[in-house]
Amino acid sequence: MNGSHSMIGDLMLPARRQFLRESGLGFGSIALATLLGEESRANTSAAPAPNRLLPHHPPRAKRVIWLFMPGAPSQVDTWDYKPELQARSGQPLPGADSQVGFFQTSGKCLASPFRWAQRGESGTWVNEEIFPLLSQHVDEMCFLHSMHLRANNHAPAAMELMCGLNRPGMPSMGAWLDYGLGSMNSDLPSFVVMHERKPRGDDQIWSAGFLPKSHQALAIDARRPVAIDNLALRQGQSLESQRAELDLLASINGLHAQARPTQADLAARMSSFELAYRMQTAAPEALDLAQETKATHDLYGIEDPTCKVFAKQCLTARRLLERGVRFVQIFAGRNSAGDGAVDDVPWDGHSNIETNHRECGKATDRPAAALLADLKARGMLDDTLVIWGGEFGRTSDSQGGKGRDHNPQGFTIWLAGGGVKGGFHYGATDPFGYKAVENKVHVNDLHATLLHLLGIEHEKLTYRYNGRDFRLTDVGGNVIRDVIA
Amino acid sequence: MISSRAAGFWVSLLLGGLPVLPRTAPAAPTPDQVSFFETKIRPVLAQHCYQCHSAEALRTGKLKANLLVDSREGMQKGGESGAAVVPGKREESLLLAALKYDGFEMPPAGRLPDAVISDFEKWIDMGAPDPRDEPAAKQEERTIDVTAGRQHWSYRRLAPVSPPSVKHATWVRNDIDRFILAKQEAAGITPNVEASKETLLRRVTFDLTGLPPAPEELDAFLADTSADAFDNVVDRLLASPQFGERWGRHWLDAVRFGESGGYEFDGDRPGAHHYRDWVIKSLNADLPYDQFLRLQVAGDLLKPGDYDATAATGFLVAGPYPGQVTAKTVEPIRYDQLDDMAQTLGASVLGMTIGCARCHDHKYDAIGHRDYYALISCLGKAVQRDADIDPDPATTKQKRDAWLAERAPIAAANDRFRNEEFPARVARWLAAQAPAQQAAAWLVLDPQTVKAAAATLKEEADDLVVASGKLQANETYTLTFKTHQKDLRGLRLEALATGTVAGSGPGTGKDGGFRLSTVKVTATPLVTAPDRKPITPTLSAVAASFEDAGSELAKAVDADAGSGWSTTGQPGKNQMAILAFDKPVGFDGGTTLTVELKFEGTGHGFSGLRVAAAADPAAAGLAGHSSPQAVREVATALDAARAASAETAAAHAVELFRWFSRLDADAAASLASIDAIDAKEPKPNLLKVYSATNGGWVITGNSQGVTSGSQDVFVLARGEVNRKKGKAAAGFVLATVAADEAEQKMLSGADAKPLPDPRLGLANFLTDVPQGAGPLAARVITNRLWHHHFGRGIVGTPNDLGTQGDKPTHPELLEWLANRLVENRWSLKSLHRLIVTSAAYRQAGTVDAANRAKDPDNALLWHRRPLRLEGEAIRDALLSVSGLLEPTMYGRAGLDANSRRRSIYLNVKRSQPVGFLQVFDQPEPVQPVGARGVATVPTQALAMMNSPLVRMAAENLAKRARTVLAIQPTAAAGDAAVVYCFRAALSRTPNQVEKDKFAGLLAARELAAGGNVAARQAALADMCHLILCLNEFVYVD
Repeated sequence: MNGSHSMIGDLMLPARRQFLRESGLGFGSIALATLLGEESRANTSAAPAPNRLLPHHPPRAKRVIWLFMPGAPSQVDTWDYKPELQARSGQPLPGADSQVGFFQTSGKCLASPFRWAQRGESGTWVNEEIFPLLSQHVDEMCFLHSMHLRANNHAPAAMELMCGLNRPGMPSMGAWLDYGLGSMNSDLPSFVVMHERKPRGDDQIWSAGFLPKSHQALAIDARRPVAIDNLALRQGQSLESQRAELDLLASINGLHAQARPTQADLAARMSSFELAYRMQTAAPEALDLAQETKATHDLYGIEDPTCKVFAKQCLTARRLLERGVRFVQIFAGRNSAGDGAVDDVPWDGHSNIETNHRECGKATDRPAAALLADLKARGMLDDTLVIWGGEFGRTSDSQGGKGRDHNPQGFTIWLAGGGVKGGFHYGATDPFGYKAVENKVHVNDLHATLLHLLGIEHEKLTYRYNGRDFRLTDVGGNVIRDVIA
Repeated sequence: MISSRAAGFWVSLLLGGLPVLPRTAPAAPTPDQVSFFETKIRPVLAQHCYQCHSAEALRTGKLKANLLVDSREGMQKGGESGAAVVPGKREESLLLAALKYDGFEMPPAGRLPDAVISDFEKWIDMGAPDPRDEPAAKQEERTIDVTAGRQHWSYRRLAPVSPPSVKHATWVRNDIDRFILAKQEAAGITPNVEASKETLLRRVTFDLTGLPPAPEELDAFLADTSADAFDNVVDRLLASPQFGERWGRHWLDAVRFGESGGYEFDGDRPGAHHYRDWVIKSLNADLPYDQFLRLQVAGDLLKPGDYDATAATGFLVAGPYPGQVTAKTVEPIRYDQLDDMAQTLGASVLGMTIGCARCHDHKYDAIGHRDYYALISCLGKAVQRDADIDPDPATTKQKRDAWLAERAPIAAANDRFRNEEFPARVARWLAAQAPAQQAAAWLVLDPQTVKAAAATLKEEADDLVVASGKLQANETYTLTFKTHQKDLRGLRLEALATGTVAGSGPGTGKDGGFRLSTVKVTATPLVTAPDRKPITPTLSAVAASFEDAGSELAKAVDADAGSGWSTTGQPGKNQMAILAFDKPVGFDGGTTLTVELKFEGTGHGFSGLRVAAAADPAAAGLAGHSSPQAVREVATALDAARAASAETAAAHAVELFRWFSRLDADAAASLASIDAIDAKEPKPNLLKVYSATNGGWVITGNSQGVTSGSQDVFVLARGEVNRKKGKAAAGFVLATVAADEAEQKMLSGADAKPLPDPRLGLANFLTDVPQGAGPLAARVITNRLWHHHFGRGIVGTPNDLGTQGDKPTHPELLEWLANRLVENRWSLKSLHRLIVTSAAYRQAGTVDAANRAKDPDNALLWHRRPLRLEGEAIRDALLSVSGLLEPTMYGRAGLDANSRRRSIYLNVKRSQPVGFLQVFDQPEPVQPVGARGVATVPTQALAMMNSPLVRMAAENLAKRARTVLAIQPTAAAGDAAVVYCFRAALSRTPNQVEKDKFAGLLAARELAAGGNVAARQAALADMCHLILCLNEFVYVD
C-alpha cells in the first residue's frame, strides 16, 4: 500500500507500531495507542518499554518554539557587535566577496546605525534600541554567531534552515520531530505554524515533504477569523446530535471493519472520528486567549497596535506548548517601515537597515521578551527550547547607501532554555561580521544539536524514500556539545 | 585548450591501445641523472604542467585528462590517452609529442623553446630517470562495474517468459493467473473466489475512471448475465473520457506536475495545464507508451509547432523554478533545474534514483557520476517558455482557404480597376489640377495613427485631430504620417479651439491654455535599404502666431523638458507655430513621419491639432497657401513610380492608389472592398503553451539585469558549480544500454551521424528495447499499472526498481507483462484490460484464516484488501454521487475545493494546496511520487463531518433521492430513501441492520422536524451525510 518504509534507529518497527506511525494517526497516536492497549510511547515518565526506540537518550528539551524572523535580520545590527565595522564606515570592506549577496553591494563598510550596549552579567553587546526588552534576557540566551548556509534568497534559504536542503520537497524539522517522537497530547496537533502573510517559500517551509501527511503542520493564519478548518459544527448540528451520528457511524463501521481484518486502517479511521470530535472542543479552548489574565495580556502587548499580532501568536504558542504541542513556529516581524520591505519578508532591509529594523523591533521585541519571561515564570523554560533567528544574515557592506543585501555566510541565531548555556556565545564572524570564521555552524550542525537536545541522535532518525534513507541532517551534522548546559 | 586535432589524437590513442607498461620501479637513477632531472625537467613540469596535472590540480578540481605528472608513477601510467612517458622510447612518449605540438599542443599557452624540448628528448633517451618515488595521487576511479550492473534484474534485456503450469487450472482466466496461482500453490495457498458483481463493478469503475458506478450502470451490470458482461464493462470504462482523467492523475504524481514556480512569489504558469490536458488526451487515445515518452522528452524537436508535441514537453519543465534569478544565482539554479529534470526522468520513466549520482557514483546502483552528467548534457539546452501554438492548424487552414476563396473575386475586381480604370482616371485628374494647388507651400498631413497618453484623439475632416475624454496635464500626443515628399524642411503645428473641451481652447486646460514642452520628429523609411536609416532632425523655432512672455516657441525645442510654448494670453484663439528641421527629411520609396508632442509638468495639450509640412517653412510663413496631402502625394508618387526601380515602383504604385482613393470615389470603393476582406483574414487561435524548447537559460521574474547564461553542461565534482571538471558529453546510463557502443548509436541517426540534438538521442534511449532502456521503461510502467490496480506494485517501490527498491514479488509475471506491453505496440489499454480481467484482480476480499497465517502481508495476492481512495477520488465521488459533478474536460478549474469539476483540473499551485486534497495525502508537487502515502488523521474526519463540500454533497444526494423517488416535501422519506442513497453512494443495497439503523435515525429526525419542511429535508441530508462518512465510502473493496 505504502511505498515508503520507516526506520527508527536500526530496527524495523513491529508491524503494529508501523501501522500507528504510518497508516495510523498523526496527532492522536497516543489515544489510539491507548485504545489498542499499547503503552503510551511518548509518555516519558513510563519505564522504557523493551521496544521503545525513541528518544535515544534523555531529552533536555521537550518542546520547541521557533520565533522565525523572515526577511533575515542583520547580524551586525542585532546581536553581533563589531567595533571594527563601526570604526570604518564608508571604507572598503576587507575581504569583500563578489559572490556574497543576492543583488549588488558597494564593497564599503556600513556601520550599524544603532546604539549598542552591554547587558546582563554576561556583558553581552546588544542593540538596545530595537531590543529594549529582549536585551534584558541576554543571560538566558545562547548565541550561535557563526551560522551559515548555502542559499542566498529567502525561499530556498528558509527551506534550507527548516528542512536541511535549499530545495522544496524535504520534510521540515517539525515534521521530523512528530515522526520521530510522536505526539504528547491527544486532542491537538503536534506541530503548529503561525503566520500572518505567509513567509516567502510558503507551505514548503513547514512541509512534511515525503513523510506521511500525518506529520504535516497545522498552519494558523492570523488573518483568518477561523484558525482551523472544519472545526466548527455545521449549522443545525449540536455536539449531542453529532454524538448520536458518530455512535451510529461507529456501529456500522465496526461491522464493516470486522469483515475486513487485514485492513488495519479501518480501525484507525474509526478512531480518527472520535479524535476529531474531541478536537472540536479542545482546539478552541487552547486558542482562547480570553482565558488569560489582563496582566498576561499586558505583558505580551496584546493591546499594543505595533505588536499585537505577534503578541497574540506568542501567547497562543505558550498555551499550545502547555497543552502538549511539541513544536511551534511563528513567522513574525511584520513591519510598516515603507522602506521597500514587504510583509512576507519584513526584515529584508535592502534599502534602509535603520528604519526597517527599528520597525521590526517594535513589532517583535515585547512579545518575544514576554514569552521568555512567561515560560520562565511557569517553570517551562527549563524544558522548552526557544529559538530566535531568520533565514540568513546581511552584508556588512552597504547596498544602495543605507541598506544591506542578503548574506548566508555568517549570521546569528540564539537559543534559550531547553538545556543550552545561558549568556553564552559560540562561534564568531570576522571582525566585520561578514563571514563566519570560528567554530562555524552549518544548518546541519544546528539541526543535529536541536535533535540532540530533544533526545534524538540525528544519524538514527531516518526515513526511506525513493531508495534512500533520508535524514534531517542529510549527510552532515555535528552536535555542538559546547552549547549544552 | 586542446585543439580538435589534438582531441582526435587522444581518441585514436585511446582506441588504438598502447603497450602495457611495466609498473615496476626502474633501477635507481644515478646522481647525474637526478641532477639532470632536477635542473632541466622538474622545473619545467612544475612551471608549465602542474597547474592542470598534479595532485593539487586533482584536489582543486582542475585536473585535466586524468593525467598526473607530479610523480613517476603518474607520468608512466599516463592519463586518459595513455602513458605520458615511456622510458627510452621517444615515439611512444605522448608528453614529448605534446611538447612538440605534434597531434596536440601542450602547454597550451605556447610551445616551449626547442632547447627545452631537446632536454626532454635526452631525458627520455636516458630512460627517463625520475627520483619521485611517491605514489601518484589517488584519483576517484570509476568504481561502478557496468557489465555487472547490466545484469541487475530490471536493467537486463527483455527475456521471453512462459506462464507456468498450475494444478487448479479452472481458476485461471488469463495467463496472469498462472503466475499468481503457481506461487500460491507452491506456498500451499488457495486463491479466493470471485467478488460479488456489485463489488467488482465498484472496484473496476474506481480503478479505471476514479468514479463510482452510477446506479443505472449497476442495474445494467446486474441484469447482464452474459458471459462477457464484465469484459463489456471493462471496454466501456476504458473507452470513457474519465479513464484519461483517472490515469492522468497517477502519471502527474510520477512527474511532480505543478502549475506554478514554487519558491519566491510562486508565479503562476497559466499555460502549464496544456501538459495535463495532453496527458489525459493521450491516455484516452491509447497513444503507444513509447511515443508517449518520446514526445515528453523531445516533442518540440520531433514535431516542431505541433500543439500536442509541444504540450508534451511540459514534462521536462514542470518542476519548481525560482521566481528571482540574479547573476549570482543563475548557474546553480540552472544545475538544479537540470537535476530536477534528470531526477524526474529517472524516477518516473526509469524507476531509478539517478539524483544520487549528482555528486558521486551511485552508492548502490550501477549509475555513474559520469552517467548523470551525460544524461543532463542531453537536456542541456532545454528550457521553459510559453510557446504560441495553434492547437488546430487544420481548421485554421480550412478557414483560411475559405477566406482566400472569398477574397479572390474581390482581389480580381480590384486588380481590374487598377489596371484598366485607374491610369486613365489619374491622367484625367492630373490634367484638371490647377497648377497653383500643386505648388501650394504647405502640405497638410493626413494622420495615419493618432495616440495620446490619457486623452482620446480622433481624426476628423480636413485632417483635424481633436482631443476629448480624459484631459489632463502632462500629456503626450503621438501622430504618424506617411509621405513620398522629399526635402521636407519643417512643420507647421496648428493649435485649434474646437469647442470639445471645457475651456475655450486651443488648449485643453480650463483656461484654454496649453504648454508644448517638447517636440520630437522621427523619419523612418517605408522601404528599407541599407543606406536608409531613420533620422531624428533637430528642430528650431521659426515663427509663432503668439507667445506668452517667457514661454516662447523656442522653449518647446530647447533641452529643458520642463519649459514650453504657451499662448494663455490669447485664450480662445487658434494658434500656429513653425518649426524647422536642421536637415532635409524624406526617403526614396517614402517616409513615415512620427511626431511626438509632449505637454509636460503642468502643461495641457492642444484641443485641436493639424500638422503641415513644407520644403521651405520660413518662406511659406504662417499663412502660406495649403493643399491637402493627397493631391501632392499622387503627383509625387506618379513621378516617383515612373523613375524608380521595379521594387520601389511597386511600392509607389500601392501608395499612389491609396492616395488617389482620397480623391476618387470609385477608387475609394475598390480599396474599401479589398480592405474589408483583408480585415477578415482568419487568425489562428494561438495558445500560450508552457513547454520546453532549446534556447538560452530562462531568467524569470526579478532578473536584476541577467538575461542569459552559457548552456554548456560541465561535470561538477561533488555537484558543485565552482568545481567544474570539463564539459560533459551527451550519453546515458551505461548499465541500462545493451553495450557501450549502443550509446553512440542511439545518439546517431540512420546515417550514423550525430543527431542534431542529443535530446533526440535521449528519446531513443528511453524507448529502444534492443539497445537502450526500453526494457526498463516497460517494466516500470507495467509495475505502475499493477500498483494502482492492486494497491501495491509487483515491485513495492514503483519509483525505484534499483537494488535499494523492493524486490519483485512476481518477477516472471512482471517480465511477462512487460513483454506483452512491448509486443502490443506499447498499448497501455491492452495491458489494463489484461490485468483487470484476470481472476487475480477479480478476487473477493474475504479472508481465509489458513491463507492469512501463511502470507499475512498478502504478498501472494490470495485476497483483495480494501484500498482507500485518494483525496481526488474522494472529492470526485462526493460530487458524483450527489449529481453535482460537472464533466467538462481540460483546462483549469481554479483553486476552490467546492468547484464542481473533477479534482484533476483544480490548479496545482505549489504555495496553495487545496486543503481538502491535502488532508487526504495529496503529495507535494515537487518530487516524483510513485506510491502515495495513506495516513489517517483527524483533520480528514473534520473535513468529512464539517466541511461545506461534504454537506453540499449530502444535501444534493438527499435532493436527488427525493426527486427520483418522487417524495413530497411534506412526506417522510422512509426506507426507500435509505436504499436509494446507499446504492448511489456505495453501489450496493443495505443489509437489514444498516437499513434499520439509518431508517431509525432518519425517522427520529423527521419526527423531531414535525411540520418544518426544511428540517425534514435536513434530516434526509443528515442521513446522506452519515453514509458519506462511512469507511466504506472511501475504502473500495
